Amino acid sequence: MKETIEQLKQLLGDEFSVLVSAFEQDNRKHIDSIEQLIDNDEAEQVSRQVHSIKGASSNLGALELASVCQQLEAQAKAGDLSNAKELLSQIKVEFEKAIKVLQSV
Amino acid sequence: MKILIAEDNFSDRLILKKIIESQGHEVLEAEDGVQALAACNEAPPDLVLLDALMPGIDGFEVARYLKKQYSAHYLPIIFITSLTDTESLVKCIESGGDDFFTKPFNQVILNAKINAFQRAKELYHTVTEQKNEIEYHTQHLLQEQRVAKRIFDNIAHKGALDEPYIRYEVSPMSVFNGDILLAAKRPLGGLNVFLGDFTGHGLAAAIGAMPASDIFFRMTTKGFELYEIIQEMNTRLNSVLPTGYFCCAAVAEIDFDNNSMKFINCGLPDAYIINRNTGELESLHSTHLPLGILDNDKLNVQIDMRPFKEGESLFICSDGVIEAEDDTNQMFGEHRLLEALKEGATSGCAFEQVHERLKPFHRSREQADDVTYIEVKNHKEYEFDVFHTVDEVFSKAGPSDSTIEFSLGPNSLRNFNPLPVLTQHLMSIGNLRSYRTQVLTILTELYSNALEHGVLGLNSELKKSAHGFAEYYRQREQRLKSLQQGFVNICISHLNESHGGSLEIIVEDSGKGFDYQSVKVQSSQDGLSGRGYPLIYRLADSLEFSNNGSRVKVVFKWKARRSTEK
Amino acid sequence: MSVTSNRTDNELSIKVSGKFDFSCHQDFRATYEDLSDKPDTFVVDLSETTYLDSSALGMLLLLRDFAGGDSAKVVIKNCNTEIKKILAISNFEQLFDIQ
Repeated sequence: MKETIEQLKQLLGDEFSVLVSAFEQDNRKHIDSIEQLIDNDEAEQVSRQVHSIKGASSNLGALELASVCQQLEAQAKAGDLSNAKELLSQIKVEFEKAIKVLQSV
Repeated sequence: MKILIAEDNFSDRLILKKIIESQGHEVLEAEDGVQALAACNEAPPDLVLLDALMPGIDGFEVARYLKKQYSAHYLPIIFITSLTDTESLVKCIESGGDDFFTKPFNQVILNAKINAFQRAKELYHTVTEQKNEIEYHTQHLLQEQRVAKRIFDNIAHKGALDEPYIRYEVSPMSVFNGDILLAAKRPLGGLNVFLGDFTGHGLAAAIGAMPASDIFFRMTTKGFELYEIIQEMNTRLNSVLPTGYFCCAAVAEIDFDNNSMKFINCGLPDAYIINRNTGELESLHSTHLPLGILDNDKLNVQIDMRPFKEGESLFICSDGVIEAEDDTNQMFGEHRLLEALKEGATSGCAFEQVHERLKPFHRSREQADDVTYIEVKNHKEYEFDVFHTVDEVFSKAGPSDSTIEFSLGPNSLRNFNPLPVLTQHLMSIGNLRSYRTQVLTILTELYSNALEHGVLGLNSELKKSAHGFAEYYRQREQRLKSLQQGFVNICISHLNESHGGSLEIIVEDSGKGFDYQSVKVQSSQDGLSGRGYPLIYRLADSLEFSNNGSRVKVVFKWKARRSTEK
Repeated sequence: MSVTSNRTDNELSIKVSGKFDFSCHQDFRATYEDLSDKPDTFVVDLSETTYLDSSALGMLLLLRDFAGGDSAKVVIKNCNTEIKKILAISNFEQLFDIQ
């Protein structure tokens, strides 16, 4: 993850901090709404939102986070939300980890 | 390049933007499909990076719309996707995507893709520019050809082709035609026909056609002999056309009154005399080199004189008829032409048979060669009428009392035809023009009698049979060639009177004369022959012989016709 | 279509295979135009020629011109019946030695 972040820092320069805060805000919003969507049993919407987090996190090199997102996306796409809450809490953990790394750079 | 990024995720969009900008491209941003379409409508970008899954209008729909809207442009679309299943990728392609770019983003790959599309775009522009340029030039060329064709058509006009006894077909391969078909009435009645096939097609061919038609019409209407017309054409074409370009031609001078024809074939396929009564065909082979290759001395124009009887017709075609091909590349060929002519011969519809049978031979494909053919019938309904191609003059201009004298010695008799010059003079006399046909007939008959029977001593009895007819003209040519002495004097005087005028023509020759007493009572019923005096009798007001028949004086009186009678 | 040529001391032999039409124009001319010295005799071998059109007749006239016009020695040989007929219709035997 460190290597990817270094590359991005080089590419974005001053705007790297913008990227970090946008990443945090956008995805926090997604995570909150996913919680709600799981309660409402809206599998397709869950899959869409988590797809977005997956894409963004892979671009920042947060591969663990992207990997858990991938699992949830696949299950939600198949209409299966039985395991969703558990995976979501894993996503939250990985997300906080990623934020910490991003902010430490 | 101007590149549109349509991506709903801010951080992804930001990264893409930075990658692309770092390569020096201009970036437009759209957060969803609606914005993407709006941005394109404002100013179409050079390349679109399109996220497949977006809220509202998704990437697939955007792609479909753009490809339809900008079908005439080169607008490549790269789908940005973290989708990896085949089904989704197929959907990207089907909706019009040109390429994929997957998350996580790889700068090197993205730059490579953008560069590839940039090169393709440049190529597309070059091709488009060249295409436009070619289109422009083609249009320009066509326009020029249209203008030139108008000029060409004015020169190579239809002449007498629309006469009821002529049927013809001219089908041009391009705007221009390598074939020319000309027909013009002769001032004394009768018809000249010319079918020429120039090497090549289009402009090069048409350039030679212009002087050829011009010469044909001018000289025919002035009453020049066929060999003179051909020699003039040959000389002109020889000087105008570059080596390797020439004109295959068949030319006929048809005299319906005397049922005879002069004919020459210079490099065209066989022409045919079709006999309606017997159904027989007679071939008229090519005997000379095409026109425009050698000078006249070497071309050595020899024109056959032959009977052209009632019920006969003359068929001439260009080689395009024989070489016309059908769908299976089978040539029409000489055998099919002969079959068609024979089939139609006795019913008088040889032309129609050829026309009908040729149809499958140029239906589907572009014609490889020009296809031109003509049939001229000899039938009695034919009557020569007032000539149209020469301007009518009804004026008191021109000489009102004049005498013109011509003395022709052996050299002149061999090489010079005085009739066109005399004609021109006579036609400048006010009002006499209306009687052109009669006057020229009288003049021609008198001159040929003086030359052929007087000076050359030819026996008109010969002309009574078809064989003798040819023999007569063979002897004429031979004797003319070796002529050492003799003369023909022509003296024409005229005087205008209050409502017309009178014309006196005296023709005297060096011959020993003839028994004019017996000729005077002869009727004109004897086919090819006769000295033509009965005809002159009918046309003239008086006819007197002296010097034992070697001097003849004819008086022709005319009344002025009012111009409204024209 | 192909045009080949063979040069001996005083003769240039040109052979046209397939269709002898305008597409041969460049190749046909090239066989004689770039010669350093002019041969006495030109031979056009049509044994493998299947078809001949009026532009080919034109090319033959160009060759004749190059070879010296009226004093040229140009032989056309090995014509098939069809080609012989085309040459005869045009009365080319007056200009060329057709064998």
